[in-house]
Amino acid sequence: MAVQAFKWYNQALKKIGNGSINFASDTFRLLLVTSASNFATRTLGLLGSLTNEVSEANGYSSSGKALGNVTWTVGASAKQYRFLASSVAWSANGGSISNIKGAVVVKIGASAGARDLVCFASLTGSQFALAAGNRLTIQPNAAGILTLSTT
Amino acid sequence: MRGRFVLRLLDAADGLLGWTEVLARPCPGGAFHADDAVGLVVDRDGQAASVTVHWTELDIARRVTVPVMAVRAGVRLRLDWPENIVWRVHGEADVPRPPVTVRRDLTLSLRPGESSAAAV
Repeated sequence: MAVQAFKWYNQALKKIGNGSINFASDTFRLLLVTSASNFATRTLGLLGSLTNEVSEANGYSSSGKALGNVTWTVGASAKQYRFLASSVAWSANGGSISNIKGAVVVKIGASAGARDLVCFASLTGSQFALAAGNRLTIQPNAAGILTLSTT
Repeated sequence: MRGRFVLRLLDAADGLLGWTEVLARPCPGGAFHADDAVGLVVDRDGQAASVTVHWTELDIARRVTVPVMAVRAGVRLRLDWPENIVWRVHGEADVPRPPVTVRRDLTLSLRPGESSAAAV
């Protein structure tokens, strides 16, 4: 499967600058989307503009799962900071979790205007179904989900 | 030169019932022909509804509807396609690639997205 690296949404860069997204204190979730989703459109800003999340069924709940152990900390060198979190897993039960194509990280907020899209990744070249009794784990690299560095 | 085609037997919900890989040669007349009759071994019981043909080099696929029929795991199914034609250049319209069904635990490790700032 052609797993790709996480990619920033354009507006996420703006929002970490104006404080709308705070990697050190905000709550984040990881959700799954289908191949019909617009998740790879980098100009998306809010969760409300994201289409075609994987259907809620068979072990997948809408809005995905919370990212645990979120940290914003020094990365590979003093010139880099990284956004890191623990792995997230779904277990398919009672049927398949269908049409999995990509993953999106969302910052959770009290209102629709505060639910910011942070980054996305394509998990596969062709969407897949996770058959019942199996587990899908999205494992961020030890280097982080996102990094920000300077020269 | 031969084209590499992956055939998938699917049920009505696009669940995978069996698959096979076929090497087919291009022939005058605008089609790719397999050397022998095309067949596949059914992986799991179900009601077959269609066969998708995925031309892997071009990453395009087509769907062939088959009579709905019960199939059983372990049975070899033969597809009696005229002249063993797997793909016609001017044939049916292309369709989205069929979904893959994963039947084992899967861990995907994703690399970080990077952004950098340059001092001016």
